Amino acid sequence: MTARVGDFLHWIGVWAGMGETQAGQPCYIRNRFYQELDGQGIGMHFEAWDPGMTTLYHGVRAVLAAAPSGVLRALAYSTMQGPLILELTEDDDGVMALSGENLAGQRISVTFVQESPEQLLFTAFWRPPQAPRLEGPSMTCHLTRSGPQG
Amino acid sequence: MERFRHMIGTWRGPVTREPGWQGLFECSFTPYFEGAMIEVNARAVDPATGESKTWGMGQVVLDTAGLVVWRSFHSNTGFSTMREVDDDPSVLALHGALAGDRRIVVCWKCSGDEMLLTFTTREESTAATEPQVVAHLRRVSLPLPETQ
Repeated sequence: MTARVGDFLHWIGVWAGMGETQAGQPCYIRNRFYQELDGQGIGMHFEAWDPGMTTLYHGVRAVLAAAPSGVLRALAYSTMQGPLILELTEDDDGVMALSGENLAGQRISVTFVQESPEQLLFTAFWRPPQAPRLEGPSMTCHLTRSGPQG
Repeated sequence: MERFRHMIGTWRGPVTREPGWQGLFECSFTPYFEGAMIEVNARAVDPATGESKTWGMGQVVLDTAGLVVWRSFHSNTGFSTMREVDDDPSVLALHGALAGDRRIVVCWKCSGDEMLLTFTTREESTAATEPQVVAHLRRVSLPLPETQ
C-alpha cells in the first residue's frame, strides 16, 4: 500500500529496548517519534547507547515528509553514516521501510514493523556497493512503548 | 561547525515575500550529537491569524573539505541539497538544485544578535534576481541543552 505520514502518527512517543550492535555488543536503544513540519512530517530521534549509557554508539535524527511528487522521503543525519536521504518503500500496513545510500555509496536500510500496539521491531543494516544482499552489519531490536504519546 | 556557534538559538522578526506579503518569521538552530549536526527549523506565520504560511527544516553538516552541506525540506520547494559557496566571511551563502530544473539560493548574514535571511528560487536558465524572501531577525533565545 502507499503510505502517508499520517499512517505513522500513532507511533508518536518514546520507544525503547535492549538490542545488540553490529559488533555483538549489548546496547540500549531509545527512539522517539514526534510531529514535525507543522504536522506534515514525522520526526525520529534514535540513539543506541552502551547499557550503562556512558557511550553513544549511534545517533540518528530524521524527518519523514512527502516530496512534491508525493513520494515519502526521510531527511536524516547519522553519526555513523553522515547525511542521508532515505526513501520509504512500499510495504505492508504497519511497516515503515526506509532505504537509501550514504555519501560513500553504502546501501542503508532501516525498518520499523509494528508487532503489537505497544511493540515495534526495529531492523537496520548497511552494506557496501555491490555486496550481496544479506552481507553487511545489521542491528535488530524489539522496542516497547516507554513514554507517553506526543 | 564551531563557526556557526553564534547562530545557535532562536531568531524572530519581520519577513517580506513577493508579491508584497508580510509576516513573522521564526527559526531556530539547534545542535545535535555534540554539534556534529545543526538542525534548523523555520516557519513564516501570518501575524493576524497565527497560521503558518510556509515551514521547513534543514540539517547542516560539513563535508570532508569542511564546507557546509545543508539538506532541507521546505513546504514550497520540497527536498533540496545546498552547498556553501564563497562569499563575505560573515555570510553563509548556499546554492542548490530543486526539482524541475530550478535553483535555490539562500544567504544568512549574522552580526551579533541580528541576522538577515534572503531566499530566492529561480529557473536554472534565468539570471539572478532580487531575493523573493527577506527576513530581518533578532535573537530571542539561546537553546536549551540537548534533552534527547
